[in-house]
Amino acid sequence: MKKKEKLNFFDSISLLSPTGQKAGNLKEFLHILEESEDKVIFHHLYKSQMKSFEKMGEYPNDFANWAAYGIEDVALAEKLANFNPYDFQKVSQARERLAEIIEEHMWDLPTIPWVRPGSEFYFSSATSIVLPMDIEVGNIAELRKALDILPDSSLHFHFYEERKRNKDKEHDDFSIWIEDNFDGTDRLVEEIRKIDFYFFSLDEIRKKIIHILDEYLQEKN
Amino acid sequence: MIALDDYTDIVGKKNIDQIRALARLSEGKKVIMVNSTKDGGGVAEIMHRLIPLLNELNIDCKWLTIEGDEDFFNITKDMHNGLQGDKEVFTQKDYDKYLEVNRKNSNNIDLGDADMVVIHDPQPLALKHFYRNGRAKWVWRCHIDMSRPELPLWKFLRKYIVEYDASIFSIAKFSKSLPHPQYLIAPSIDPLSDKNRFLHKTEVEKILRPFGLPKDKHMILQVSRFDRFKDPVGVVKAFRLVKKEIDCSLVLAGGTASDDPEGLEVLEEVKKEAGGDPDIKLLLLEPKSDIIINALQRKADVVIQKSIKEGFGLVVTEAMWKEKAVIGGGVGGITIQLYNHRTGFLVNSIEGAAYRIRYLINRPEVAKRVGQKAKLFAAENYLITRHLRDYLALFSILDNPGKNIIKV
Repeated sequence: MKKKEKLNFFDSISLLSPTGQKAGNLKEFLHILEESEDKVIFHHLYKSQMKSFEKMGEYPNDFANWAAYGIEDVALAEKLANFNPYDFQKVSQARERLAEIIEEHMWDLPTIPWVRPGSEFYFSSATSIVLPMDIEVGNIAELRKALDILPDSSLHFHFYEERKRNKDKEHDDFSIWIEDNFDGTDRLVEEIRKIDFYFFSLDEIRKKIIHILDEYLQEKN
Repeated sequence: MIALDDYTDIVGKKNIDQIRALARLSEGKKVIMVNSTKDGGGVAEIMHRLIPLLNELNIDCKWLTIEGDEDFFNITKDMHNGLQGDKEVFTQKDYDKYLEVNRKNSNNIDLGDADMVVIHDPQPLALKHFYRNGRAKWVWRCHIDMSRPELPLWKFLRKYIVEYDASIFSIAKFSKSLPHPQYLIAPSIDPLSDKNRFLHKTEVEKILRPFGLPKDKHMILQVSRFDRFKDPVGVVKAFRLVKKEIDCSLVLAGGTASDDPEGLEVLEEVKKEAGGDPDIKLLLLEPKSDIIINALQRKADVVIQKSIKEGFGLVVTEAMWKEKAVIGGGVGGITIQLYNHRTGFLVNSIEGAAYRIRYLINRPEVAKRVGQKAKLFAAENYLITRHLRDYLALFSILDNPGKNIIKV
């Protein structure tokens, strides 16, 4: 019999903080990328899901979107979109791989084109305030209900941010909590962990988790 | 008096709860905001609503304005233009006058035991220079398009900006290389104000009746101060191109602000360009004409904001909130509001503006679809509640300098 601990929710409210650096071509971009602090890379690679579809563009991270709409190099955008930063344990490793992709891509370019004025890439980081919410759940049905009222920023924190910021966590908070506290939930945990989360917006992720939980609860009843 | 809870139906309880939770972290803080006018312009409009909401949340927030003579405001208007990239030349006498007025104001403005002072735009920027020993954290909040400022002016003002503890810009494009932290806070509109609250069609008709606007014609609208950066002359030229193909009317509705002495000059240029065309209406609105602007935006078939420089363009947000597919100049903050075919349309020329006007008049179904998405987008990103949340986050961040994650 597993222990039964409640899941307490946190919210993570961020304010963007531009570094004041901008890149007008790939060479400049690569240079700044290599020099940037982890928090800058973290923001552009891991926080894109916080943007709505209209702002986010077609690709799952800021760098890929700039490649597509800023320098208008769709092949590079595709390479950067297919790169999954969650494959790397450390942000610095993701940065290194990213730099390699760009370097390899530049190697094949006859010239390094400049973007049109106004389409430069502006580097930013984000400062987050993590605060406890008045929501706690003790079972899976309550978790399902909480997902209806959870702000996007809290969902992002528990489903994306924590697995990157907290080195002890390989997975999202929800599946970890279910696994630790409830017997006979292997399939449910697996279903949640199977979600190809990097490619979805927060709206889509919320719907997917709700769907998985609804199916589990229906089966159980 | 509108209270925070009144926004629950619009933004949802989870957003209101989030604001309250964040506000508890800064309860009792004393904040002073300083700008140059309480009437006219987007900044004043925001402050009129933001400050009461901060006070409701137990943040002791006061709003002060600086005083200056006509000379001073002419210089600061030129500074505003110069920061937005216009060729402006300043003499040492101009700089001396600017500093002198700031110094005098520093004698009159009592900061008391303020925890934070937020200075808006360049007019009162140098105030900080004259308050060296205060305990308050100083933040410069820049609302204007600073992507390409005039270099000599930037060098002069930068000396005073670097004295601050932090700067705030509306979009990343305006950020600069500075020795202190910079933050992004987009401005906002108030969905419950007279300018944005829902108006029934009959109410719209009643409000607009005195203006005798042409009926049975597609109405194109630009609402903005008569300012060269808003390119009202370019709008008239675009209208002419459209009129060759479609029978339509143009309304240019412009407010004035007490810190904007250039307005009447630009109005004359527009009148000349319009050349007495009865289908072009120029409405010079008083500062308290919010309900009229609301009605105009709701009535318009096409809303345009053909700016060639723009800090943010809240007038774009206002029209998006009213489900309009806005055509905007591809500059400044307009570029983070209008995404082609998704939330609106960006244009870069008179011809482009004319083309998109025709495009939307001929495709009302596209205008409707994009307009609906525009409203959702504005609701998610550019309402006063989000603005309030950002300020509250800023206060906590300023209290924890150097931290990337603040765990409460």
